[in-house]
Amino acid sequence: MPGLGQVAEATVVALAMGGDVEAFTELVRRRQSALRNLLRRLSHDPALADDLTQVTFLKAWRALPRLRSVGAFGAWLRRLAVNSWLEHARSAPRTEPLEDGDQPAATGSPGIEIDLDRALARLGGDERLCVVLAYHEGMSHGEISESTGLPLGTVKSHVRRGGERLRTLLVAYESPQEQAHVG
Amino acid sequence: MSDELDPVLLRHFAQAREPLADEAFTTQLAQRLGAARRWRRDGRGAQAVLGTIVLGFGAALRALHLQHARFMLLGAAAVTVWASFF
Repeated sequence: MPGLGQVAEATVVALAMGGDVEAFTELVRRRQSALRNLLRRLSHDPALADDLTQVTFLKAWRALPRLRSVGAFGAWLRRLAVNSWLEHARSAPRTEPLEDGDQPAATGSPGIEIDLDRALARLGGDERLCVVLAYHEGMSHGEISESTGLPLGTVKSHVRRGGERLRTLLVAYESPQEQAHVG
Repeated sequence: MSDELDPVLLRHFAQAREPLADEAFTTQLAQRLGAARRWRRDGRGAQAVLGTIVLGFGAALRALHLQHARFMLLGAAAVTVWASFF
């Protein structure tokens, strides 16, 4: 049997739903980078993000036979990842956002992912979640509200205020014209 | 308020998204998946043995209520012992 690398995702999902481990491993290969990036933005801790991604895939393997439609796999997997993050955030000791003294370096260097994660760490938990789901995942406010259980108005407010704060924190990455629009 | 997002922030998020190598991650996950599958299989085996034991005792208890049915009790006990060890 040829490898599954070139096979359409819907087919691979259908195979995995039937208990095919090789198909599930192929889904892991295809989706791991996106999920790890999402959880890195949320946790600003690469090791924790990788662990939570593994937990997410293990949950997915167990729950896959109950997936309603193969086309829903991507959104369903993302929801599992967000739930893994929320479960972790609720069970872990509450961490305060970083202090103002721990500013992102914002030197214009190629370390944008590090500084973005540092800037995100300065937002509150729900605010960070809403901003990441909106900007990183491209989810609508309604989808975020549905995924997180937060009221729609709260989601809108978190995305707007969190976005404004991030712009201010990352201002050194912007051109002078863009900086003129901050604040 | 619309869902409109700040284009500068969208650019920052896009730049921060890096392709992450899958080999070590996938290998580690495969090990955890294998352990989970073994645990589930062993769990199913234990469940089957437990079910047989319960059935055996049930048959034994029923036999106690029947006259001249000691052979049934012995049979049920034998099945129980056999299922427990084999």
